[in-house]
Amino acid sequence: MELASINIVVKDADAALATYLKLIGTNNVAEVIKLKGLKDDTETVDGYWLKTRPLALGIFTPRGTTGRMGEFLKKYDQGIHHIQMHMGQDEFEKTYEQYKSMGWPVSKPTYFGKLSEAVFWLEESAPPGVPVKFATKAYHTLKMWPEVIYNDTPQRFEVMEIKEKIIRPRVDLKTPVVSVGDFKKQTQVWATLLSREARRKEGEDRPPVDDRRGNQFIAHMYEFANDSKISVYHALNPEGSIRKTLSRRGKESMYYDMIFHVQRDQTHELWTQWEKAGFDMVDPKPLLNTGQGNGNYFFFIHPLSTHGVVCEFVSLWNFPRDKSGEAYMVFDWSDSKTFMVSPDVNEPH
Amino acid sequence: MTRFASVKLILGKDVDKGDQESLQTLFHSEERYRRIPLLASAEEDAIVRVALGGLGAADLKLGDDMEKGQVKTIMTLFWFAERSQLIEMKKKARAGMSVTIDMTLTSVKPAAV
Repeated sequence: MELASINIVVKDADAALATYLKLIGTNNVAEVIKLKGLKDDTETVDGYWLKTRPLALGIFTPRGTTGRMGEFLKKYDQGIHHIQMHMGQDEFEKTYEQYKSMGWPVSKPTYFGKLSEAVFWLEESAPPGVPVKFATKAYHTLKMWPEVIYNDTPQRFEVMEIKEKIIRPRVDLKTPVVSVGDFKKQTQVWATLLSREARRKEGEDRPPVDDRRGNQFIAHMYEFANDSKISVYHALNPEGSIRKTLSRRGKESMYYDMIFHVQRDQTHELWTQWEKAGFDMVDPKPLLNTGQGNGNYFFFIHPLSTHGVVCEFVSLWNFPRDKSGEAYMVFDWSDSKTFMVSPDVNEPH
Repeated sequence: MTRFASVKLILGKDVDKGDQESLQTLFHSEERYRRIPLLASAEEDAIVRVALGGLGAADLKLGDDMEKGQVKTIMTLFWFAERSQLIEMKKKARAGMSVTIDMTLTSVKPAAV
């Protein structure tokens, strides 16, 4: 099972595409697929699939107000709607049966005929409390075929030619953040859903994270082979924006934001580029995280300028493990231009 | 004192005399992101007197070096701790009222070019 994408629901997918190309940079998007009339078991949507790394970004506008995304847009307005997991067909079929046997509400599988891709949804009413979509590329007839809805869709799809060039330093889409009320219960639920334990934990044997924007939270992080992760956050203080947002939604869990990793020595450059491009930056400049000794810069863009999505940026690259299995943070110096100490000093000689 | 910036924002809530409020609590996010052209340059940590019409005033630290002509917002002028600094309300006011915010530099250190 691999985390594959973060998917947002917006009122105007064309406008959102322009926004996210401006944000991420056309050089950081390998391909944009335009999807017209993608129909599943509850609704038809139009939108775009941006092949960013390691996670893709799906941008969708529902045609109606009664399907999953349509209801979400009507009820909560724009924002992150779901994440999508990819897996081989055998695992896909097994996972579907497993969730059903556990009594978790899943949709009927839908088959997108023109792409030979099958999907099913773990519904919002399931224990995680947020919709999760599972997808595979069919290599043989689906074993659960009597339950499958076969659609000759998408109506149309095409790889877009993006003429405008917007060049940004490296920006990687890495993490959806799920904000939860009951941390103990939800971390168990996510471990079951993903068939893995959290590998990084914040706030158990260390103090809670203080984001210095009024939130203190604890977190569990579930990692994937493509260096992406799902972070489950529990904000401790009710007056902070994370808890207030969850409370306004009247739910026990929601997708709170999405995290991009950026090149460390391009952090201020990126911040300046985005401010000039009209994005609503949350602070006067990137904040150096002096807490818990991690020394990263991190900053946010307010959802006012990103179609309802809180976008978070952190100046690191990956979390590899040392010999003892402990994760540590690695920075990306691949595009460094100005320095007193060359990054090459760390290259083996 | 050097005039630093001025902007009109719509009050997001009713306030009474004596209430303790801040830039974070007085204005909704749309207002806190209203663009503000800077009339002077200043360095990080310069003290800016922020006067909220007749409602109250506070001295806030500037969050970064800024140059005359740059366009900022309440959010990009001040860090969260400064935006959250409590200001005592001098009079009653209603949500929806336009408040002229005048900012002046009380310690002027023009940013180096």
